[in-house]
Amino acid sequence: MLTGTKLEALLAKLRRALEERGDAEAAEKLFREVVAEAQRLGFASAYVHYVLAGALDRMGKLEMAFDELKKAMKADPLALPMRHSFEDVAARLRAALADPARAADDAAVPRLYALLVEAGEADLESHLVMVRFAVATAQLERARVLAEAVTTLFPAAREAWEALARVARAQGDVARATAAEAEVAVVGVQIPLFGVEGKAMA
Amino acid sequence: MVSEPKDEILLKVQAAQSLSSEDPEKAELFLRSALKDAEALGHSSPTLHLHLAELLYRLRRTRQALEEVIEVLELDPFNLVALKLHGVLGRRLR
Repeated sequence: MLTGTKLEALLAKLRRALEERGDAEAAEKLFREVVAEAQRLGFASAYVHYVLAGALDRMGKLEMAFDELKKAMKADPLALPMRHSFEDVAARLRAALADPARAADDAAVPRLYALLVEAGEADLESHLVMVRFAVATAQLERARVLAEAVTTLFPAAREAWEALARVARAQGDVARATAAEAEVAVVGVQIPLFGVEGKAMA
Repeated sequence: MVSEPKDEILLKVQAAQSLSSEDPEKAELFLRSALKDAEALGHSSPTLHLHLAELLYRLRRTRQALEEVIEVLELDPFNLVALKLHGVLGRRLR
């Protein structure tokens, strides 16, 4: 068990950071100093990353909080409270990315999208937002690659095929657009449960 | 469907958490099993050891709880929750 004055000084700093009420920036600085010093001592402290993530979240620094939670989970992948916080912040990042008020060409889109993809937390809507961004910023080739990939990942999602059809049409690839539209029509058909048509009777 | 070993460990931890009030002995079994599985995978989880320490503390098995807390502090000496519990257990043993 690590002991000594160096550790005591760092623990005192950590306690000060946790007790800091008025100056959130000062608390963040203290936390980051503890993280750096701990690393110099050879420790990646899941606990410190986790409490720093909480402080950053309260400050509205959601992307930084997510980054700290990733580090916490790397240090302790079996910690359920950290996992729950990670999932909560990931959900809020997804919601922020897919916010209908966000312009299609918003510069924050690729950054938020990359954060989610790297963490394996991007969902269908996240990918579609990125496709829309690529179209809105005239990156049609990038949009096409993404849209094709999204239809592979989510072959039963009507929106994925619709996005691919739009991108292909914008590229002038009528054949692919028509094929994607045909998929939209197929995906839209409701297959009867157990293949049984008609109404259940008692 | 084949589940990942890590998912199985997390399921055991979840089971332990939900059982910790009504059947702490069974919760302990789940936690110890999760720790054993984690060890086999090469993972050392301070949080799992801390869960177990808290459970043992509530069962008044102070010395065993202290062993677990020491394990947490070996892995993460900055864990203030473990440090606090370490102090409480130390006082109880004196």
